[in-house]
Amino acid sequence: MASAYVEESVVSNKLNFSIWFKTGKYVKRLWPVIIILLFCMLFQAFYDSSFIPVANAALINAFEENGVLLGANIWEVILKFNILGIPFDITFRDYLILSVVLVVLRSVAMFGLFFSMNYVEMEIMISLRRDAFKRIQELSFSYFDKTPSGWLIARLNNDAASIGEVLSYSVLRIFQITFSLIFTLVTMFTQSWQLSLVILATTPLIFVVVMIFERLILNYSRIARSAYSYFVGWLAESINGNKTIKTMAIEETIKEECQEITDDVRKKRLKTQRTSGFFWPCVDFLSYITTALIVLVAPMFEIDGEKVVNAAMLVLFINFVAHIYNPIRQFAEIFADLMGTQASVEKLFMLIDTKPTLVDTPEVIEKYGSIFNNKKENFEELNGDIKFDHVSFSYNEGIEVIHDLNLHIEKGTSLAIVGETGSGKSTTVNLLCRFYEPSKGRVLIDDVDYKDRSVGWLRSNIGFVQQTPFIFKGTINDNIRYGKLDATDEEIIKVCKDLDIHNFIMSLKDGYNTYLKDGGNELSQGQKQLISFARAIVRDPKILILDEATSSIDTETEHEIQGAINKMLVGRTSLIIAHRLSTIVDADRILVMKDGVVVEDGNHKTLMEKKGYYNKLYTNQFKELNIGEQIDQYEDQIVNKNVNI
Amino acid sequence: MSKITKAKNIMLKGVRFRYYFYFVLLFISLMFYMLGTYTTKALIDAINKEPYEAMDFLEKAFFNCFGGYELLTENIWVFSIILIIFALLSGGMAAFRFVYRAKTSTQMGKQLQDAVFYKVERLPYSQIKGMKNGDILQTCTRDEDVFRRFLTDHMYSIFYSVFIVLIAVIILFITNVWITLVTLALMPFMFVYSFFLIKEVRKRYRKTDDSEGEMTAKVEENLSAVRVVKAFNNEAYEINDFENYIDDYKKKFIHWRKMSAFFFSSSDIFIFGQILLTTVFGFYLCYIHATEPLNPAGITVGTMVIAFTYADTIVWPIRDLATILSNVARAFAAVERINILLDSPNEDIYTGEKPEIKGNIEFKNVSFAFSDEPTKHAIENISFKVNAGETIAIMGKTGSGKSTLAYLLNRLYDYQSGEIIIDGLNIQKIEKSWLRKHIALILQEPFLFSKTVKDNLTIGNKDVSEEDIKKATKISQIHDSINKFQFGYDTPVGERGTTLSGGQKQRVAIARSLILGSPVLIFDDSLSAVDTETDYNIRQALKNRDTKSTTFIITHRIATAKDADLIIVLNNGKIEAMGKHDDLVNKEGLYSRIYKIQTKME
Repeated sequence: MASAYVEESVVSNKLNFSIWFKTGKYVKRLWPVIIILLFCMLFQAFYDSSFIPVANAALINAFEENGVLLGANIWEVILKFNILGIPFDITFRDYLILSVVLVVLRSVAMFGLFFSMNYVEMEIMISLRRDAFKRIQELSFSYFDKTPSGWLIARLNNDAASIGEVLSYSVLRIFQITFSLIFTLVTMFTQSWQLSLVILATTPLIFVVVMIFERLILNYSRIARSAYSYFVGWLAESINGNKTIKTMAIEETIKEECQEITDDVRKKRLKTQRTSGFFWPCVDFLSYITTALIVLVAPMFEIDGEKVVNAAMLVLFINFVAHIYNPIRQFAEIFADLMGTQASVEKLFMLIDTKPTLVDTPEVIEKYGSIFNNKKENFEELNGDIKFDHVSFSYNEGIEVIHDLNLHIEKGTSLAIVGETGSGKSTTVNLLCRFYEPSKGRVLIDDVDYKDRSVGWLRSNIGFVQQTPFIFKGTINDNIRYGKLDATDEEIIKVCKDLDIHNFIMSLKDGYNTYLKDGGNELSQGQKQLISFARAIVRDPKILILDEATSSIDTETEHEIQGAINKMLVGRTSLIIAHRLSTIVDADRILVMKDGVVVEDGNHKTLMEKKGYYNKLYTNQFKELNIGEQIDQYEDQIVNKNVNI
Repeated sequence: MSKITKAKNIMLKGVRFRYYFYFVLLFISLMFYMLGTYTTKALIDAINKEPYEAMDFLEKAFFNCFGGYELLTENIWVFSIILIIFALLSGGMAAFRFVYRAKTSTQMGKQLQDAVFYKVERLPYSQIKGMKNGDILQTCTRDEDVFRRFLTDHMYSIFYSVFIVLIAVIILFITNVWITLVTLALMPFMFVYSFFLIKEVRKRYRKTDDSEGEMTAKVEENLSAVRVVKAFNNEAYEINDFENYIDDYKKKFIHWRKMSAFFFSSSDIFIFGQILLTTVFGFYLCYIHATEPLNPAGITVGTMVIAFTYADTIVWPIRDLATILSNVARAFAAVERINILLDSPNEDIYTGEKPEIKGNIEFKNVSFAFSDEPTKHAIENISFKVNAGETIAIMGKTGSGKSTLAYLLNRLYDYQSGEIIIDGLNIQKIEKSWLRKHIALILQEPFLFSKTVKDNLTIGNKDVSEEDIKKATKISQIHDSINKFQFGYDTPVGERGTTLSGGQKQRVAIARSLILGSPVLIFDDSLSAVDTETDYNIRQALKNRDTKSTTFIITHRIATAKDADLIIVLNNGKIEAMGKHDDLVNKEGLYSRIYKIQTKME
């Protein structure tokens, strides 16, 4: 498996902007919301970093110049404000009114801020999921061969979610922090540039400390997380292997293993927590030192013998320490978030940017439409005559799995292809369905190269039944209608009656409206397969493909299904792939493949009596059966068919 | 609270003192922190030269502690030293308690993880068979995590809030009663408001989460049906359908986040309202002090500053407290699942006799029915006798009771009537672990661990010599295949290593059991994926061993069964026929029929 698909919690070491730029278009189209967001942030920053400190300083100041400002009535006390360099006086009454209004406004702004942030998060996450989902629909089979579905689900779920989160909370918060830094700096400098310089003097130190700790913590927590996921994996395995543990009586050994692993988790978690345990006190300590420095130097500043710094100024600057330190911490956190999510962005865009390899030519799309939008009115009727003309195929460069296949399947024939795993039988069918295209040679349908018609044209004429019957969440009706989205209820019932499954469906609780969930687990495997038969037949396809359609069904049920299969084959060109040979003994023609080449061609009786490769395959498989099955099949396929062996 | 006891006791075992002592540390550490903030008040009062006599005893004590009133008011710079002293005390204490707490909580986590797993490991087979592996895993991981967080992080946060409010109230109360009351005025309302509103937020969150789950299910469905989707050319339909899930999710997400944004922004009114209220009232009391210096209700500027600083310090923890408390139900649900697991009884595998086991086995009228179908006998009245070293073949159709018979012998199930006797002793008197070590059961679908081949082979007996390992792998005809693996015996097995074929797995499992040197071997159809020739070679090699084990072979191959000392044909849990090959082959019945077919098909 390609290493790109290994699911590890990767944390990047370097910020790569070109990766993040890819997310730009998802953010850009949300500009109206972002503008609202920025306004809200601006207001909040103003209130928290300018208004409150200045107001507090003004309140304290009112008592400093005793008697000068105090009026006879508390409401008339004059407060001296200096907001962003603009000095003005305001009475205590007006201050109170202004404050209440601002508290309410701040709340409104916070609502706007939270909600628009959330909105941005959701929109980004959903657009990413939508685009990824659409891309998944377009991609061809070769992509899914290489890509585990778990990997794809992780992209859609986790990555889309964490990118949305990081882009809204982390990236947009950069603005919030910047605003509050700017307001703080301006307010600081308009109050006292000397003390502002004292605070700024210590910031490089705190910056270094924060960066070092964040790095360490990021690193340690990654180690701790992977130790824990190892533990979870180990647990899952030990629970699955429970029976083996019991029968081998190795409970003690496993218990010791458990202790070792949990202790490893403990140690690594401890290391992370210990490091962050030192982090905060360190930062706090530095901010105390800065405060102490301010207290130390503040009394030294004098202009014309007058002290510049009074109690109000001290309180103001003690608070500014926190206002400067917090943003630095937050920047470090944002940095860590970006690092942690970079790999997600990389992987998700790897999916979204994948180019589908199997697409129709522009001329074909022009005439017949794309897979999303078929122009059915232009479709020619398909008869079902199939030719493989010198077809070769390789999944990977250089390793050919089909060698120069020439095959003519006449209209209406039921053709079975057998062979061991890797013989090329599935590939042949996949080529016919145009899940893949031949590397060399052509596939002709009704004597026309199928690349000259659209994918949609071909597939709308194919009925396909795969090995494990797939049941969609929904009613039986929905499941059958999946084969022909505009089928009427009558059509569906007719098909089911033709296949002799109408009675079975009516015997269910709600008949055709019986709701199937969880992969239809309330039905047996055989019943599910019958529904997928109906799904294939409701299209009235000219070509029918049964790809290992009986493999997952036990032999008992196979008997019941065989009847339906025989009915489906009538009047259609059909290809039947079966690992289990009992399914194909009735086919008109049997093709035996080995290593990508057809080695035998005939029917069950002739091939058995020939005592060649088919005979060997058959007897080998027979031996794998359990005793009851051996007895039944021997009767059915050897005695009743007069096979002479 | 009683329902959390069991899991809690397990976590606190050996760290009980440390766990509770942390609360003391927390209190001391917060005390230093709050006194550090208190310095601001003293500083301002010193700058303003507030008279010493008018101060409360706390402030007097503060001044006396650090050199006296005169010194401090004349030398303001001394306050920077006081600040550094508090920085050292508070920072040092905080670092100490964080590390102390990390040690305790990680140890607590480990203890619960271990305990829950030991329990899972020791559940009786009949019980664990009926449970979903996914559910067990959830309890061992997510529930453990939720409960550990509750007992450590959340409990500590709760007490952090309580302590910080307590200390602030005490300090303010000493200073001025009125300002204390005003500082607390909005808190109860905010607490109740937050507590109930956050519940609504959480309810909406759960709906959103469910909707997201459905969206994921849709993606999963689409991916597992990818062949069907493409073959039926329903890509456009799928995209439209996915859009429905997106719409639903979007609706619920907005509904949820509207509420959470409302919660945070509206409770901000309480928070900033409280700070404003304290500030304004502080200003009023300060004004009284300035205009009527003798009025006892008045406060100094320093007190006003400390009041709004403390108000700012305590409002946030109160909101957090409401958030945590409103989520306690989740921790209780988690611990309940853990306790249900912990309360289920262990399978007793360590008591009983440990006799020498040679391999003479006798079944006397043994019957057994599964607990979910007590009237239907899965095994009925089975009797036979085997001498040590003999080979017994068991044949029969699916569901005839072959495997159940094997499970009865090593007591994965216990029979209900009759008797199974090994070397003269009823197996129910023998210690299960002992019994199972001596009766090696090789399963049809063997389970290999994701370790190296060698570690898998030696899992039951770590002290085995290289030589013995090779001997076993040669008997099970897997030695050569292992040597062909990339790293030979050190090749990792499973997901991250070589994927073994079914037959290879079976042969590794056979070697693994042979290494135990058990006097009794049971092959539960465990040669099914091995070709006939290898099957024959394995049986020959077993025969040629120095020490012969009593060997049960459950099989569907006549060739495998026919050399056995005794062949048992089972049908619906009963013995249909029993004897040697020559006896059975000439008798009308399942055995002779299958014999005829299989020889013909050879």
